Amino acid sequence: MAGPLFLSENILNTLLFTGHTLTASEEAAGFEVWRIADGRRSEFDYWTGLTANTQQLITLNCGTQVRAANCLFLDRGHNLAGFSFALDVGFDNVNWQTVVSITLPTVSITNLLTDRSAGVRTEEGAWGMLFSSGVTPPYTGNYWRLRIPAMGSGLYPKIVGAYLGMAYQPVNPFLDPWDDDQRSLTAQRIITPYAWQGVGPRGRVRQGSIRFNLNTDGEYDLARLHLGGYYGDGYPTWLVHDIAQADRACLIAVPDGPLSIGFQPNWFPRQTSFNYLEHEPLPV
Amino acid sequence: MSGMVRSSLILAVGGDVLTKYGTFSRRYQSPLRGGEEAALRCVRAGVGGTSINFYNQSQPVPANIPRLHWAIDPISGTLRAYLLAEGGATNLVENSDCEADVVGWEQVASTLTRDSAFAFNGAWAAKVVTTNTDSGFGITKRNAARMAATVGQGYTFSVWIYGTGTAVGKPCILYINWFNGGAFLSNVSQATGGLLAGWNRYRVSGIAPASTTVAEPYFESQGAQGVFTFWADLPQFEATSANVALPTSAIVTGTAAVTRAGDDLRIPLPTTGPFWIYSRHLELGSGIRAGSGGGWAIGDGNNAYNFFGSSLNNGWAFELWNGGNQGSGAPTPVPGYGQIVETFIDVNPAGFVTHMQSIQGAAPTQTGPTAVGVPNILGPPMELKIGLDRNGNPGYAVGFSRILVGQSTPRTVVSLTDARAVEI
Repeated sequence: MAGPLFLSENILNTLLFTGHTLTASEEAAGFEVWRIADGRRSEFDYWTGLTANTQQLITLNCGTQVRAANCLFLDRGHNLAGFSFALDVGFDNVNWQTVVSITLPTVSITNLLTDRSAGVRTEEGAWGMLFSSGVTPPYTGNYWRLRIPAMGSGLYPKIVGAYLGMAYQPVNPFLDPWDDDQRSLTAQRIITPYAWQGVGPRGRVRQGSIRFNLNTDGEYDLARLHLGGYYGDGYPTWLVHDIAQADRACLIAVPDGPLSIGFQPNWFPRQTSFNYLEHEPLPV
Repeated sequence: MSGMVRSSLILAVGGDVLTKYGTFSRRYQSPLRGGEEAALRCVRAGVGGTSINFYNQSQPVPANIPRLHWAIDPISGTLRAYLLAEGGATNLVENSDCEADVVGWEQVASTLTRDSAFAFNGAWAAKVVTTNTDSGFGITKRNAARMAATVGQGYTFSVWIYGTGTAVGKPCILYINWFNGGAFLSNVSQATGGLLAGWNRYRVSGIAPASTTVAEPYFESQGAQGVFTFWADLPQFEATSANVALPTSAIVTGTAAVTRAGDDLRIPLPTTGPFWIYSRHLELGSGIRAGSGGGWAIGDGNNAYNFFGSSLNNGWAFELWNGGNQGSGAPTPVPGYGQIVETFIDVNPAGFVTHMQSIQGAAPTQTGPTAVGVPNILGPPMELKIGLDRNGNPGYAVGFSRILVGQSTPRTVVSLTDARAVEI
């Protein structure tokens, strides 16, 4: 097991990062670029361009701020599987450094989120990559750019959601019991007086509780920022129980109920404890 | 396991903060709610410039963007991020980037062409193929005239050179020739000790002697070294301190000399103190020159904690200034170029100020505690100034890995060693 990861921060979100601006080389009416960071997962809520078979750019300007990032997720519903995709970073919207340049995988297999050659396609078709970790520092710049080369005759790129930021990797594994397949089936059911059962569309919702230890003040503050701050305020968060099995990653939202990032000076390890609920699960 | 309790920490700024939290500054004890707080932002007022990126390449940075400087930490030996703050400078070289042409570059017993095989900045550099003896290039203005120089002024010539293959290890030399019109007066030189592999910056400094009107810098092989090839980019000829001259970060020019104004970085503070302050920086020249302006300051010109380059010791000095000096120190030794300097000011709520400095992790040099003679009141605006002294004067060049500001109660942090152990 390589350890868990949360991606709560999304610097593409211009409501959260008010000094940022997000633009695209082309935006179709009703499919504006802000939709990639609005947290919605509907297949009808996406960004696309106007001209088929041409390179498309989505550019983030961080204003006066330099931003570091080490993780990127593209939510399910994108149509880039099997096509080229790149992430660039720079300081001036002119000179770019390529962070990621790959062909997105078309199949979901168990793989490391840190695989720089392909990243990971999740079971439901999202894609993610942790492009720097450990002793490798995050990439930095005040311009970030998603670059989608021309896809072929008649083809337009489509991105439902994109999440770019600093991932939080707890030092300690989750405390037992935890189960990355913990889930419940939701559906509207009717049982007749004769015991016939009718079931409407079903949803498989991943949900559960997570606890883990925080060994130091420094880790406490990271947990407080990412989980107490972003996640606790309702921003969708990518949950990866195990970086080595990132194909099981899911997007979670905070449910009703308490969320605790416990603080007690001079008392270690502290524990954090919270519940999670999958955000807009895929119907089965 | 837990490190030093840092419940008193208010603000952290610097490269370490960027690589952990994704932004240069972080204010503690204030949870992020519903959007980014303006108080968290590290704002720079200044024109465009350059810094060194993760790959040891020149990185253009536009105006008003904090500059990130990557360098090997001389203590840990690992690549580390620093927040760059430096004073203004002018690159007198009119065509330092070679992006359009190599006009102004003078062949000296060599073949010099514009080339894109290696470039430190942009896509092009000057490729130099030597002949045998004293072979390299000189730098003039675009009209081939030598650059103007002022008698008694210190100047520094620096250039980035890419060494590879047989060029590695070749002895080379930099020098500045001083002229009165067309009449040669004298020169100052500095040997490289052998070209290093990859992109490295070489420099030479001197003071323009009496009668100087113009100068020309050169980079050449030292004696008969045979034929080899190297690449050069971003030469810089700048007026610098006559005390200890060091180049500032590279200034890109293409058609004329360019001036880069000093950095002005400020972050609001939520409270008036008293504080303890700890900073850890990579010495790039500020502290080893006389009266060189600021490292950082909190408060206004008359009521401030101040960390600044001082002519008292040609090094760093500290003071608590409340309408007058209430306690100051100018510790020795003075740091060298490229060394790590840690500083600490603690203002005790009981009315004493203590300053400490450590170079390269050595035992701290301490001054104080000194009794504070007047109420310890800092003046508005309450902000941390970075790269500036209390009067807003910029320094020359400092790269901060971290600056920590904490409150003095509860008094868990009372020494540099305590502050060093505080986790950000």
